[in-house]
Amino acid sequence: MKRNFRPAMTWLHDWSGILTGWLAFTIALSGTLSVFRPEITVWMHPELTHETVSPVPASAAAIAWLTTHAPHSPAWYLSAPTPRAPFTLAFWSDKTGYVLRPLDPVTGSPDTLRDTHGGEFFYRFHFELQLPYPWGRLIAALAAMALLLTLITGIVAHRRFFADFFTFRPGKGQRSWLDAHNLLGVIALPFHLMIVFTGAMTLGSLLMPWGNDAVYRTDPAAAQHDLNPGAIERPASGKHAPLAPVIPILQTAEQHFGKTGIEQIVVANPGDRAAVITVTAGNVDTIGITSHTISFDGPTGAILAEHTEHRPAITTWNVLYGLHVARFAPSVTRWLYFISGLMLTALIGTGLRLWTISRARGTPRFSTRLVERLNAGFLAGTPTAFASYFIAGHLIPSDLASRATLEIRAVFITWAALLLIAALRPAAKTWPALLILAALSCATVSLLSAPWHRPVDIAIALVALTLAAAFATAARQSLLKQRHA
Amino acid sequence: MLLALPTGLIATLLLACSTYREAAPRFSLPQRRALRLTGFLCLAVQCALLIARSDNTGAALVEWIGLFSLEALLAALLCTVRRR
Repeated sequence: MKRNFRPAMTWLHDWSGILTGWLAFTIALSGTLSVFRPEITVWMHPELTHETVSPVPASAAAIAWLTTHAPHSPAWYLSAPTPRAPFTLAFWSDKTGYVLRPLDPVTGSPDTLRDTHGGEFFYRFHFELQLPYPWGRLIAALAAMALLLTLITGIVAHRRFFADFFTFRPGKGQRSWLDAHNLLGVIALPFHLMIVFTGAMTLGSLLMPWGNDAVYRTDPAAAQHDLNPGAIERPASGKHAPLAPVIPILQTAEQHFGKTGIEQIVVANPGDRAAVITVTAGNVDTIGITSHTISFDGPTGAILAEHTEHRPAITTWNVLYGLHVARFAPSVTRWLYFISGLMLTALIGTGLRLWTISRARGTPRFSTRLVERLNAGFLAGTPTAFASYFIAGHLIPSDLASRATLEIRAVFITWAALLLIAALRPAAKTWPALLILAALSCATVSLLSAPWHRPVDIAIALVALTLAAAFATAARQSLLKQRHA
Repeated sequence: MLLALPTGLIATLLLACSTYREAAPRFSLPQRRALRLTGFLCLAVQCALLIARSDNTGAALVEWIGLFSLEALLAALLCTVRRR
């Protein structure tokens, strides 16, 4: 058993990696981008020039606009403006379905801002994979569990953990890929384990729903109330009653929350006598996510319930979830999350590449050739597909109807086209072509950031330019290797 | 932060120097052990500096782990360049 343990773990590492690798790669890359979710949304709104916005008047303006334009929505969900996101992000429903729009902080209207999901696309894609509930989340949860298994088996399989800690030997084929894979895995291992474990745990109730089902059976509202006693849910009465003035309500909440400020506002049953305004605090000074909630009676503005979370189990979950989403993180830590996320993405990419290289000796099988081609499509095509979202965001006319949907379609059309090209052509020819395309698309994102007035434009231009240089270098290496062969 | 960054980079460089692959021809085993110990001490100093600067110890530890990854990557690149 002892003698067979490491080979067994290596086998499990290889196969769990290859079976979920492409999915894990896209989840890791979109998760890495969503570290800067508000900044991407700001970048995709060149018309957004406000630098500092006060959350109370901006949220009140948003509620005033929604009162007039979305009175029949069963609820309005608002994310209050922050220094990183100087707009109110609103989610409501109308005749066409659910609508997600940033609202102007002064007028409360979405009309002055172009229709785009901004960074929300990457955030949602990261765990929903653009699939209906619960399928996307379930697949993402399974991928996270598989990635955790791959990481743990990888630690066991890695023979010279400390001896090769700082080792990278370039230009040596398979050895170089293995060095890069080991290096990327080992130096950021605490981050990899933390982000994958907390990611799997975040979606844990989908993987293991039986505890919740056994206690609450067919009453999800009771589960929701036990989880957050500060959020009051009551059915609509059917009798009309206007909302009480919102500014005093939000000011009261702000006084209760102190320096953490307001993060989210939910108005349930707006315009009804049973309306409830639930305000949730931010979390600037704690790792754990929000734990302070106040519910106000909509028509009178009286406090219905207030809850600050201190229960150990829920606080533990909040801390683990907070570690994953990094809302607590100051700018330096956010950049470290981003760089470590890129390392995780590259770790998965080098692992996928190693799988084919180690099997390419002699006459490769059909399965190896197929994986090799799809590797080229996924690893070099996904960055181009994601870059096309940024490019579409700037090139689609700002007043075009349903432009947010068109932006997302651009990603999937680009992705499908590149995967098709990769599947039909030999991998050796596809790699340099797709890497050049990735470099060009990143360079285009950098150029579209012009005239680089806002700090966010400069930052995104620099990151895109760095990625373009990295892809160009990889393309050059790939071309040289092709010529050499 | 200004002090924590170079301290961490020195720590990872010392740890890199103490590995068998990088230092076997130059340093004896006791010297490598001394380098490793100094490296770990520098890492501890970096951690203390970050905790002292921050209002939140947990957040400082997250930052320390992230910085270590980045510094280790830089150290590995420096080792690669030197070896070439």
